[in-house]
Amino acid sequence: MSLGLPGHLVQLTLTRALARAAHWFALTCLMAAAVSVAILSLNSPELWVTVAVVVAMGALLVLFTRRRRIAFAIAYLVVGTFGVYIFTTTVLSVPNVFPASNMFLVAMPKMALIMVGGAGITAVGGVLWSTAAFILAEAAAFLAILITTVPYRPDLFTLCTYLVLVGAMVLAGIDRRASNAAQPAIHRAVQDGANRQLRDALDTRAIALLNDTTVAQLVALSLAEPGPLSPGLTASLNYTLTTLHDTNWLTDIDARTNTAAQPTNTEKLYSDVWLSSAVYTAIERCRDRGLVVEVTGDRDALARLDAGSDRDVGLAVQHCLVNVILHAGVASAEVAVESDLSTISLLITDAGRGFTESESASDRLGLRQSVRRRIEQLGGSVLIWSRPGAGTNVRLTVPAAQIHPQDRIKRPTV
Amino acid sequence: MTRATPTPRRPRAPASASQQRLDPIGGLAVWPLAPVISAIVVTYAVVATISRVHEIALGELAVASVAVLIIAAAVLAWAARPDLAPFTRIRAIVIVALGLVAHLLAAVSTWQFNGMIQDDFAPIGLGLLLLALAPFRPWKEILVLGVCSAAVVGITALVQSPFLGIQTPPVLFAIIAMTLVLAPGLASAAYSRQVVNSIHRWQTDARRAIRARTEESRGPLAHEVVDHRLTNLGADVLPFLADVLARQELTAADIKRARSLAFQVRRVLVAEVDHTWLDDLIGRERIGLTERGLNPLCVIADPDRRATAFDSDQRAAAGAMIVALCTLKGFDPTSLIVQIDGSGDAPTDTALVTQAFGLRGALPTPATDTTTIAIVTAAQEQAAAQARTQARAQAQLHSQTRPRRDDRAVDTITIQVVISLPPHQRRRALRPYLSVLRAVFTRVRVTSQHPLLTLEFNAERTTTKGIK
Repeated sequence: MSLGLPGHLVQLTLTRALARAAHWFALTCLMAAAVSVAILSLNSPELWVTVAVVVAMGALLVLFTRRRRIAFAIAYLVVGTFGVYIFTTTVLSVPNVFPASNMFLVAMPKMALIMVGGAGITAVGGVLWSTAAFILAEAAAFLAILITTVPYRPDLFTLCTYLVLVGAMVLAGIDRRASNAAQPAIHRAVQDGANRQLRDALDTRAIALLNDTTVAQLVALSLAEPGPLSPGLTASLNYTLTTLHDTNWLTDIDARTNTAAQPTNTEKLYSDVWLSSAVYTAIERCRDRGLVVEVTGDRDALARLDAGSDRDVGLAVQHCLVNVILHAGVASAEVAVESDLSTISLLITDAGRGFTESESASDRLGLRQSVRRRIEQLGGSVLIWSRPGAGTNVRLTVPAAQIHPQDRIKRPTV
Repeated sequence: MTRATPTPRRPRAPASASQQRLDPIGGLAVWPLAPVISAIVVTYAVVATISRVHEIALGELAVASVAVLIIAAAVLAWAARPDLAPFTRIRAIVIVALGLVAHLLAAVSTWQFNGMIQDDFAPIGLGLLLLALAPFRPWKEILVLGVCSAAVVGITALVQSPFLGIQTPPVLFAIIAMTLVLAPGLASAAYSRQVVNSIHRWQTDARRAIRARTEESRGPLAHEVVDHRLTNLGADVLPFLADVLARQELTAADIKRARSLAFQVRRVLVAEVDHTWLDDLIGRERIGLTERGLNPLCVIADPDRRATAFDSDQRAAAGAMIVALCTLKGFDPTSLIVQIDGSGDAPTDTALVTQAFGLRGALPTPATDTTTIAIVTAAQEQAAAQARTQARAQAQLHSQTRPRRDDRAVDTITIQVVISLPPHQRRRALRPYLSVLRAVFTRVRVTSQHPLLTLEFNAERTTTKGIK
C-alpha cells in the first residue's frame, strides 16, 4: 500500500500511538509492582497497603486511558505522588532486605507515573506533564527515603525512562514531513491511476462499439457487389451514422448498464456546472492534500452564482477546508450545498477539535476576517459554530440569481 | 445541523502490517530511531560491564556477551536502513536471538558472583531492542518476541537467585528481570498496533474518497473518450459512409476505399487496445516536457504488455517515481528508458483495467470479428511476431540470472535515466519514492554510474490469476 499518512495527520497519529505505548509501559510496571509487593507481603503483612496503592494507580490509569480527561490525569498525578511516597516508605522499611534506595522495585510506580505525559495532545504538553510527574515522583520518593534507614542512591531507572519518553515525544512532535512533496505526489499518482483505469474502461468500451459499428460497416461495404445499395446495407448504414452522431452513446450505455446491473445504486453523473465551479476546484485542492471531503446537496445550484461570486465562495470554502487540515486533527470534512429561491448556502462541517471564539491565533482571525469579509462583501452572511472537542460548522450563505421553482427541473446543464 | 458523516466499520489491518509497510514515507521519518537505540544499548552494555567488573568470574564470556550485543545492535541499525527495506521477520528474530545469547553469556560470566538482577545490562538491552522494532514489525510478532525473551530472562533470574545479594523470594527476581524486557516490549507492540490501525483507517477512507472522486469525473471522461474516438475516425470515414448512403449506390472505387478504410481504422483500434497505463503516463510526461520547451525522447520497451499486470499500488508507485524523475533538476529529457521484461508468462488479458474499480457492465476485450481480422495484413502480424521474439529473447536473458518457478511470473521494470545532479542531492530527492517502491515491489536495485541512474525492481504475480 503506497498511500501514506498525509502531513496533517502524522503528528496526531504518532502522539496517539505514543500514548498507547506509554500506557502499556505504565500498566506493566504497575502490575509487576503489585505482584511483587503482594509476594513480599506474605512475609511482611504491613506491605498490603502498597498493593492497594498500586491497584488504585492502575485503576486511575485505565480510567484516564479510556476517557482521556484532564481531571483523570490530575487525579492520577496526585494519587500517584502519594502512592509513590507510601510505596517507597513501606517497601524500604522492611528490615534487612533492600541495601539501598535505588531498587528497581521502588522505581516501578515512579516510572508508571511519568508515563502520564504520553497522553499529551501536543509534544510540549506531553513533556510538561511528564516533567511534572517526574519532579513529583522524585520529590515524594526523596522525602520517603529520608524517613527510612536505607542510604539514598540516585534512581537512574526513572531518570532514563523519563529521558527516553521525552525524547520520543519531541521526535514525534517534530513534523519532518511537512515540507516533503512526495506524499502528495503519491496521492496524486494513485488518483491519476484511478482516473486512467476509468478512462481505459470507457475507451475499451468505445473501441468495442466502433469495432461493432464502423469497422463492421466498412467490411460489409468492401464485401458488397457494386451497384445500388441493398435495403439491409442502407439500414445498417443509417444505424451506424445515427449511433456515432449521437455524442452521448458512451455515457448512455454506461448509465443504462449501470442501472441494469445494480438498480439500487444509480450512478450520479455530475454536470459540468459543478465540475467547473471554483468550489469544486477548492475541494479538489484540499483533497490533493489528503483531506477526505464528502460533498452532498444540490451541487448544480452553484450555476446561479456569477463568476466573481463563484470565485470568492470558492476561496472562502478553501480557507475553511485548509483550517480543517491545519487545526481540526481529523481526516475528513463534509461540504453540503443547499439552495432556496434567492440564496445558496454551503455548510462546511468537521468533527475535529473545534475552538472557542476567544482564541486569537492568526488563522482563526483569518477565518473570521477573510472568510467573513469575503462573503459579506457579496452580500452574504457567515455563521460559525464551534467549541473545543465538538467540531466546527461554518455556514456560508450568499445571494444567488433568482429562479422559479419550475426552472429547476428543466434547467439545462452548461 | 449536520455533522461530518460517521465513517462505517472498516476492515481490519492485515496481520503482517507494520508502520514501515503501510506508510513507507512515514517509516523513512522514524528509521533514525534504530541507530540511536543501538548506540544506547552498546554504550550501556560497555559502561555496565566496566562498572561491575568485580562481579565477573569469566572475563572472556563477559567480553563475548558485550560483543554479541554489539552485533545485535549493529544488525538492528543495518536492518532498519531505508535502502534495505522492508524490515523482515528474520531480521527481527536474529536481533532478539542475538540479544538472548548475549544475556545468557553475561549470566554465565557472572555466575555465582552477580549481586543484583536489576543492573544486568542484557535484559535492559533486550527491552530497548524490542522497543526499536515498533515502527518496523507487526504488533503480534513484537508481542511474541517480547514474551519469549521475558520467559528466558525470567528463568535465568530464577536459576541465579540462590547466589544473589538480596534475600527475597526467588520469584521476585524473575518478575524484576521480566519487567525489564516486558515493559518496553509491550509498549513497542502497543505503538505498532495503534499506528498501524490509524494508518489503515486513513487508507480505507482515502481509497473510498479516490473512488468517489473518480466517479465524479465519469461524465467528462466519457465525453472526452467519445470526442477522441470520433476525431480518430478522421474526416474520412463518416463523410464516406454518409456519401454512400446519400448516393444509394456502391461503385468499385467505393469498395476499394471501404476496404482500405476498414484496414486503417482496425489498425488504429488494435494499436489503441495495446496501449497501457505506462504509455499514457510517458505520453503525458512527454507533453509536459515539450511544454517546458524541452525536446523529450522517452522510450518504453514493453513488448509483452507486462505493465498491464501491475496492480494499482504498483502503478502509483512506479508512476510517481517516473514523474519525480522527469521533474528533477538536471534531468536529461532524451535519456529516459523504461523497459519491462521478465520470466514466466506474460499477462493474459487486456481488460485488467476494468477490474480494479469494479466498473459494472464494462465490456471486456473488443469483440473479435473474423472478417475484419482477415483484412489485417501480413505486415501487422509480422510486426507483432517480431515484438514477441524480442520479448522472448529478453525474458530468456533474465531467466538465466534468476531461478524460475512454474506458477509465478516475475515482471522486471528497469528505468534508466541521466540526471546530472550531485549524487547526495539525487539520493535525497528520490529517497521517499524509493521507499514506496520497496513497499510494493520486490528486489529494488539502484545502480549509479554518474550521471546515469538505473532503477530495477520486480513485480511478482501468479500466472493463474493474471493480476497480483
